[in-house]
Amino acid sequence: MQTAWGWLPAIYLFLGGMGAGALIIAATFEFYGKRYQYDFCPTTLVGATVPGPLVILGTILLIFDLGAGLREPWRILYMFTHFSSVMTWGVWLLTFFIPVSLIYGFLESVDTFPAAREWLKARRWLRWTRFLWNLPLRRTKRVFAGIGVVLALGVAIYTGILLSAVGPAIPFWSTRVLPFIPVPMMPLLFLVSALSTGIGLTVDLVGTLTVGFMEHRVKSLPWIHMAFIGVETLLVGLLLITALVDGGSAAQSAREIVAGTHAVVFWVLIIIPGFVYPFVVHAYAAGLGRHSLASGVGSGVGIVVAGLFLRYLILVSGIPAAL
Amino acid sequence: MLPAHWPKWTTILIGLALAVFTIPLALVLEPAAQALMPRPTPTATLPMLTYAAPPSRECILCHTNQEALRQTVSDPAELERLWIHPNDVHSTHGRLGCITCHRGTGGTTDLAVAHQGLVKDPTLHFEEECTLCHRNLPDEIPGDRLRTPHSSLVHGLAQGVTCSDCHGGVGHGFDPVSGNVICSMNVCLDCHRARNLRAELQECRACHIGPHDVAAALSCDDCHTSTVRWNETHLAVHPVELVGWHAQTDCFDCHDWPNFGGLRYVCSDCHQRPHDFGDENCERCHTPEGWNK
Repeated sequence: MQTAWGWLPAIYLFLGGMGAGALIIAATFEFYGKRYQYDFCPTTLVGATVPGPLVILGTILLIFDLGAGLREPWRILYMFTHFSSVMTWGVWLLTFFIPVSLIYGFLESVDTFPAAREWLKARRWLRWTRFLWNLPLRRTKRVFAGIGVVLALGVAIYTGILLSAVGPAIPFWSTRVLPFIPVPMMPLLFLVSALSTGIGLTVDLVGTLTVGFMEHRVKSLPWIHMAFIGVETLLVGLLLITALVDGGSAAQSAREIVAGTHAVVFWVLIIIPGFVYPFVVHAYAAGLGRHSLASGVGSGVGIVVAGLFLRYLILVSGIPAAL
Repeated sequence: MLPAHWPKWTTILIGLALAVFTIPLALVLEPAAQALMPRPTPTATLPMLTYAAPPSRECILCHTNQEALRQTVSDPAELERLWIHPNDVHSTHGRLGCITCHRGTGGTTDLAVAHQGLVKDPTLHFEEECTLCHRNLPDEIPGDRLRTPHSSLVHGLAQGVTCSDCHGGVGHGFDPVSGNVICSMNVCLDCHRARNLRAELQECRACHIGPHDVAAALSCDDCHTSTVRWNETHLAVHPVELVGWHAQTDCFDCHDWPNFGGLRYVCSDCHQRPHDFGDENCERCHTPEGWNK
């Protein structure tokens, strides 16, 4: 195992991925009109408001992790101009994603809570913003949701590109989709995992806790859940198989994950809570037409926790290539 | 379900709290899970160099300033050697900071203290630090048609050769990407000769990957006369004597690239007869000095 990248990068990769995934889910509800079928849509509200703070927290942890940036913060500015670096792409994505997600969250909040909107309009010290209140709220919100989705896709994929770019120093991180397809797996896996954790947070957890069974509102939700879990399982399986076929330290990483020193984390903290349990309860919900509170919340907690452990496991199981 | 009297905006707080709560939960679960398995042994960690740009500021202030250097150095050649162009400080290697490679003591303007423990040629002493970043070095650079036996160097087969023998100017005006100030061919060749390596390692093909598949019949210097430009050739080995315009024509204007095939040595291989009279034997009337002769 490598020890230079541990929990801190795993946490900010997770926060960035889940924030991006949650915003994409919220925007999907917005564009498909599900947002407006009921008085209150917790999925859209949380999916729009939470990504900004989560990604800000992740960015603070990232800056904290960059020792040089912490001691000499102005060095962060260098990261904006080094366009051949993956880090620079990420810095620009975050620079745009954070304000766009905050604005989208604000617009969703004032749309959900008209009283808050009226309260803000009545403030004398906000009189200079009066022209903004005349903009069509929902159309403006959709513009920011659309821009947010594009940026969120970039943020979710970027977290994987960042790792795959470190190869060939850590061959496991730059494992290809298949041995004969020269496309790195990590961006794809991190995108699907981001969407999965986004659904886990906004639908399973918050949806179940606040309005009960989201499946009553969106009948196809269990099937969508199962499809995501299926795709994620396929990608994790391909990652491990391709790494084993590649041999060397990539294969060693895969062996450590499946049957070695990381096996408990992999099977007990990722596969069972994040894949098996949610798949079973969603299959049950698809057949029965409803969740129980325990199965909905349990599935959400499992998916979100597994999302964090998946990133942690991929980081710590990386073994540097031999010279 | 949440109590009905709770305001709806608490949903946002619940979402945030659940997302953030995951982190301490994971931090507690991970050691518990690992306790069930033997603790993995950390392998060689990610390569890291000491980042020493901030304490190298005093080095840069002096070595990029000729006036400051003149206070301690009078010999113009030595002054030139010690002076660092200010732009080089911002190169990829320059940004690491002088002390990262050259050691010494940072953060001081005292000349003697600053140069304590100084390493003039880092790759003589810390060669492994170059390979921390520069892994998977190529043994061939096809674009430049060059053999570069990096794996022999890294694995210690070429004893006594260090990175700086070829890339000595890195951080001081040498740009490996643009090839600006590239190492001389003689660096390789002189060393090969001094070590009396076997004959093929003292020939052109020791380093150059020739495009022509004619090695069995010809040596490079049978045709090429310059070690600077490939297109400077002589025609001593040409099977047909080339005179007049033919002597000034590039080989591959007539021959096929790269193995000189495609010619039967008759005029009509290359030339078309513009008139109806006569036959394909142009030499009855024309000479290689020109069509009007």
